[in-house]
Formats: sequence, structure tokens, C-alpha cells
Amino acid sequence: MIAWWKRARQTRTDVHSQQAAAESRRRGTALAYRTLACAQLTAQLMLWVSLYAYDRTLQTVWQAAALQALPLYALYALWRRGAPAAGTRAGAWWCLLLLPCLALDGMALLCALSAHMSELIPAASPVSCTLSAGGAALVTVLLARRNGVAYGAYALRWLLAALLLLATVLVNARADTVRLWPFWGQGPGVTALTALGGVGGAWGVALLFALPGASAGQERGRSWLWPLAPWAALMLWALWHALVWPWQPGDALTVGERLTGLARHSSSIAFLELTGVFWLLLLIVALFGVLDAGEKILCRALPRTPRPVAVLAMLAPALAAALAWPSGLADAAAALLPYRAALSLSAGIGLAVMRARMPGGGEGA
Amino acid sequence: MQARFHRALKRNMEWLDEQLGLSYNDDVITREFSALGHDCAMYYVDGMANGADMAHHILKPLLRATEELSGRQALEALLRRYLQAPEVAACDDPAQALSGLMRGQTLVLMDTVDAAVMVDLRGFVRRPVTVPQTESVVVGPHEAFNESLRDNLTLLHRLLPTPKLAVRMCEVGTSFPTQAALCYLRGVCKPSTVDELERRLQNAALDHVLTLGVLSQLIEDDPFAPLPQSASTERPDRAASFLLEGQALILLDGTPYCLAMPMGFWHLFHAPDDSYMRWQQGTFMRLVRMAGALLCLILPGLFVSLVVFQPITMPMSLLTNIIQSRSVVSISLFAEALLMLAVFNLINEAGTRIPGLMGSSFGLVSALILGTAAVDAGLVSPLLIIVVALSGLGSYALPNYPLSLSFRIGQLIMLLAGGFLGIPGLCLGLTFLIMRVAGMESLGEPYLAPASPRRVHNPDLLLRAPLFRQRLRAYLAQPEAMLRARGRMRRGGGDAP
Repeated sequence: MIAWWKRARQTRTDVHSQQAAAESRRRGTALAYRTLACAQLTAQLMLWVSLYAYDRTLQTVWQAAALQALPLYALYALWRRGAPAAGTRAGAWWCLLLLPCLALDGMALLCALSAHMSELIPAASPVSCTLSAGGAALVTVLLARRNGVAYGAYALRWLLAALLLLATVLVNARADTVRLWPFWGQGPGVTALTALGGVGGAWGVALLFALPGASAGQERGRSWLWPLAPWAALMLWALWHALVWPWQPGDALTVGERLTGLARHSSSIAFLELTGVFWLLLLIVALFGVLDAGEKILCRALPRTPRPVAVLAMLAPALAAALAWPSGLADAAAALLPYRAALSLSAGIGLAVMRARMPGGGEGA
Repeated sequence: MQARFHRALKRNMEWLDEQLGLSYNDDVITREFSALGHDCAMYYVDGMANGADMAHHILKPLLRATEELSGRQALEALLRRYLQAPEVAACDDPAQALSGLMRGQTLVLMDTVDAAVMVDLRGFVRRPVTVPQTESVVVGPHEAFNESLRDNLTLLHRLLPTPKLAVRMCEVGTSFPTQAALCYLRGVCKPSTVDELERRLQNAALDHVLTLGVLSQLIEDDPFAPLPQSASTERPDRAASFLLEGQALILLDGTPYCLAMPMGFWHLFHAPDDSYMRWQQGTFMRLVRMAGALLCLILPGLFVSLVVFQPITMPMSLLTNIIQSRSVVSISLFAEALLMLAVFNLINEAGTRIPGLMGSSFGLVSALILGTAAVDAGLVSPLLIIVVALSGLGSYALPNYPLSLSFRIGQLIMLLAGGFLGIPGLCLGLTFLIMRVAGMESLGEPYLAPASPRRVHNPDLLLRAPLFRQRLRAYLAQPEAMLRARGRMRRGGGDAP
């Protein structure tokens, strides 16, 4: 504890040699990429609450959210098992299975972002919003060089966390535990079924191990805490929905109204604006992260792929879907997105089997 | 080019005369005389070497010499007994001798000797060490570098009197080389940093490098990046602090400041007197600077996007004032903001170019007159003038001029983003700028480190911890030298908390 406190006060360091310095650099990079992965995971899970789960479960939405810990940690355990194999050439090919998941994530994020943007700027058409967001994503990921997106996401982490707290705990005077009753809501079956629909959002745990710098084989300590952060954000978001009931199920609301639903009950209009800013930043960071992660995974498996081509390959389906099907996001969330977990699961199993076949069980990897 | 000096003085002189173009170049002086029983010649550039010293250290002892010597014996005698200047060296390479001559050294040639003797009696005019012009401090030393490389190195040696201060001299520029010095602290600066900087200096293939500003553009990691990738300072004390943090310095003859590499974004927010004042004051000033940077970057864009796209978020009284003041303005708020920023930058640039005291008076007068006239003419609203002036103040609070300019360019990007897309545009623009800057590197070190990505570092970043808590060097230092103090640092004072 004393050692931790001294490290936290930065009056002590373990970096006394070149090897320790190299390891410290690797840890720093891994930290940034894991933060980016967490931002993506958080965005997917919170979108699931606002666009899908709350309408179906109302006061038990937090229970459905709590159940998401199961797929999150199941996938985490599987991927952690297979992580040493992810760094190999064949492992990189297994990771290609994550690309469709990333493309679907990109579609969901771009649809949500352009819908939210067009609501904030009524004069702008949804098409121009989609093109602006897509163009900005492309330019940023290409100009941010090798690690800029992850390092940028890491720099924004406290701002995002503060805005999330502001959007939930600090703004809602209307939150009341009375709304949590009856405890089982429409029945455990409905809650469980809704939770099953959200399983797809958990696929992103794989990114903790598939992105650069990650090496679960070497980090045994507290890496299990990583999925906890998005899950905690999800729980907070869902719990506050259950405590406030920002809208009644069946209300015809736009995407933007759903995302900022909680803040509509706050005392100040500025909070509504800040909640909007939170969603904008989260969706933007997650969208940029999707393109960056896709490019990293694609270029690792196929090293001769030019970077701009890889980024464009990730952006094109999202852009096409957002332009051709701008209002179908809620349907997409219900029908298509859950299957992402299956792909992540397949890749995880493949890597776990590969690791088992590695000499020494992959311990030296 | 002649490969070596001949024993015949006449041939050497013919070669030198041809190289120096003495038929049309009146600036190089040749003085022929006899000493040690042979003909001799002395070459120097008029004004570069000190005449009195030449007479005292070269001519007087040689003209009084009575013995007769030839060849290597004569050379040994010249070096050991006759030439009384502190810095004397024999030079076999004619090109090197020519280069030394053009840098102010005096060449002595002698018949039967196949080498030149270079005598350092440089005495050219130079600016004395004066008060810093752009990095003035309230508390701290008041010395600044000047244009003489030698003087600048002397200032560094005086501040860091240690044999660990290494200076590697080199030349940059292919056709007309300029002398440069690479300085670092052995054992503190990473060897990889020194090697990489040397490699980049050698590969700077411009015919002539006039200043460090030019050189930095040739050696930086990302020429398209929006921010400077090397920290410049005109203060020897700050340069010494860079060295102590594990950075390497580049000094160039003719440039009154030095460059420190690698560096990070946070270095650009540090002012020299942050460390000279108590930690609370230093931290406070840094926070003020950061607030100024944020004001500069986002205030005009935020104002336009709030008024145009989200007026509902503003307090009613403020919104009423804005609408009332804008009722007489005939152009859109976005165009008005662009116009005001253009005028502000114009006044700023004109104020910089106008000489001396007139500059500040000009800025003040033009701001007052133009501002009042523009409001009276209904071109701009008073509130926007306040917004632009505040953002301008923010940019002036930044202690680094290139950083301030970069923030003003960023301000324009944010205004365009906010003007076209409102708050979403601002978010997109801000994320773009952060990620673009986060992706930058300085000599391979991430630009936003040690904050993002995280690195072990001294707690002297945006907030400045008390000095007795700063036991580490910057993350840029050699890992073995990270710890700069052991045990209690306030042994003489009261108890540290």
C-alpha cells in the first residue's frame, strides 16, 4: 500500500533500466488502447440501453444491464486465455473475424451520431451530418498517425467520465427509488430476453486483447478490472433510466431525444447541452476508435494493405448504411447487432485452441 | 581541392590565393614576412581576428627569432615556443585550414613546412550578453544567449560546471556550412537521443542553414504537424534545466537561442520562473496559461455556435443583449467573427513589424479606433469584440510564440467547425485536434506524454508539485538516471509534510 502511494505521488519509480523503460512504454501504449476499447464498449452498451432495452424493460433495465456482466466476463476469460496466441501470425488471421463486428459498430455509431447531430442542427440535412462525421473520422484517423487515436482517447478519458457523471448522478433531481418497484417489472423472462439482445455489445471485450500493446500473458495483475469500467458506466446509465423514467415506452422519440432523455428532466438547460456534448464526444471517440481498430487488425493480418485503404474499408459500410438506412438504427440494434458476440466468441475459441497447441501452452509468448 | 599542403610556400600561397579569390576579394589580408630563416605568410579575414593580438602573439615573437629551422623542426618550434596564443594547432588539411580561416582563425604558413598553423585570435564584433527579449521573468536570472556560438557554450559551461556536459561540434549545410553544437549531459541524456540527433543533423541537406528555425524544420519528426516539435529558449538557465531533464540541445552559430529535443506538449506551457517561485504560485500561473489557451482555442467558435445554433442554452438576459447589439449589424455572426479575427491578426502582425515602441502604441491605437469605428458603423457587435479580445489575450498568455501562432490557427479551425456545424462541429474539431496532436512525436517520443500515453515522470507537468516532491527527472532521461534525489530533500529545513 505504501509502495502504491509512493508511486501514485510519483516520488518513486520502478524504471531503472532499459528493459524496465521498454516495458513501461509498452504498458503506456496498452493503457491507451484499452481505454479506446473501453470507450467503444461503453458506447455500444449505453446505446443498447437508450435505443433498445429501456423501452422493453422500463424499471428492470438495470437488471438487464447487470446481466451483461456475464457475457462480458465470459468473453474476457476466453480472450484472455487465447491472448498469447493473438500476437502470432495465425492469431492475427483469427482476429479478422472481429472486422464485421467493427463494421456493425461503425454503422450503429455513425447512424446515432448523424441522427443526434441533425437534431442539434435542424438546418443541416442528415446526409450532410453523416458525411461531415464520416469525413472527419477519415481525416482524423489518417492524420493521427500510428497511435494518435488511442492516445487522444486516453487524454479525453476524465472528461468523458466527468460528463457521464454530470449526465446521470448530478442532474436528476427527479430520480426516485419508488420507480424501481415492482422489482421484477414485467417478469424475469422479459428482462432476460432483453438482456440476451444486448449480448452483442459485449463483443468489444475482444479489443482489449486484439489491439497493440496488449499482452495478457505478461500482465496477470488487475487486468480483470478493464471490463468493469464499461459495465459500471452501463449500470449507472441503466440505473438512472430506471430511477427517472425519462420517457414512457412507446413514445415516438428521435435518437437524439433518447440519448439526452435523462437530462431533459434536469433543472438547467445547460445540463441538457452537456449531456448532448457527452454523447457527441463518446460517439465520436468510439467511431474514430472503430476505424483505428479496424485498420490495426486488418494491417496486422495483411501487412501490405495501405493504411488509407484499410481505414476506408472500415468506413465504407458504415457510411453506406448511415446514408441508405438512417432511421433503421433501432431495428438494426434489435435484429443484427446481437450476433456480433458470436463472431467474437468464435475468434476467442480459435485463439484459445491455438494457445493450447502452442509449445509450453503459450506461456512464453 | 588540394589534398595536402606542399613544402613550397609559393605553391601553397598560389592555391590559397586562388581559393580565396584574392584578385577580386579585398577582405582577406595576406602579410608576408621572414622568420626562422625562411619566408612566411600570415592570412586572416579583416575584422575577424584581433590585430593587436596578432602583432603580440605571432609577429613579434617570430620576427625576433634568430635561429634557423626547417620542416618539422620549424613546425614544432612554432607550436611549442614561438606562437604565444592559447589556442594553436597544426593543420595538414587545406580545406580545414580554409574553413578555419573563414571562421576567423589566423593561418601561418612557412616555407619548407607542409602544414598550416591555425592560431585562434578571433576578435570580431558581437552583441554582448543582454537581458532576454521574449522570455523575461520577474524572478530569476536575466541573461540571454547571443549570436556567438562560443559565448552561448560558455554560458552553459558556467551554469553547469561539470565534465559530464558534453559538446559535439559539427557543421550543417552542404555548400556553405554553419557551425553547430550538440550538447547533452552524459549519463542523463539517452545515447539513442544523441545518436538520432546527430544522424538528423548530418542528413540536413540544405546548402546553407541560416538559423535554428530553418534547421528545426529539417530535423523535426513531422513537418506537417500543427505544433512545434522542439522547445526553443533564449535563456541559458532554461537550457540548463532542459539538459538536466535528459534533453539534448542544439546551438547554431548566429542564432541567439537553442533548441531542446525531444520535448512534449507540456514543455510549451512552462515558463522559466515557474520553478523559481513557490509551487503554489508556479501551479497557479500554469493553470492561468492553460485557461488562456482554452479561451484562445474555443471561445470564438463556442460563442458563434451557441448564439447561432443553441441560443436556448444561454441566459435570457445575455441573449437579449446579444440580439439587441446584433440588430444593427448587417452581416452574419459567423462572417462577423471571421472578420474580427482577421482584423485582430492583422493588427497583431502589423504591431510586431513596426519598430520599437511604435509597435505597442500602434496596436493600442488601431484596436481602439478600429473597434469603436466598426461598432459605430454597424459592422460588428460590441460583445464579439470582447470575445475576440479575450481569446487574443489567451493567446498572449502562452509563453511560446510558435505555440501561440499554432493556437490561433486552431482557433480558426474551431470557428469554422462551430460556424458550420455548431456544437457537434466543435466536438468533431476538438477531437480531431487532440488526436492529431496526440499522434505527433518529438524524436520518437509521444507528444502528449507523459500524460497520454502514461509514462513515469516528475510531477512537474501541468501542476507543479513542491520541489521536495520532485525526485524524478523527466520521462525523457536515461532510465538509470531517473532518480535525481534520494532520501529527504529538505534536510536543512523544517519537516516536509
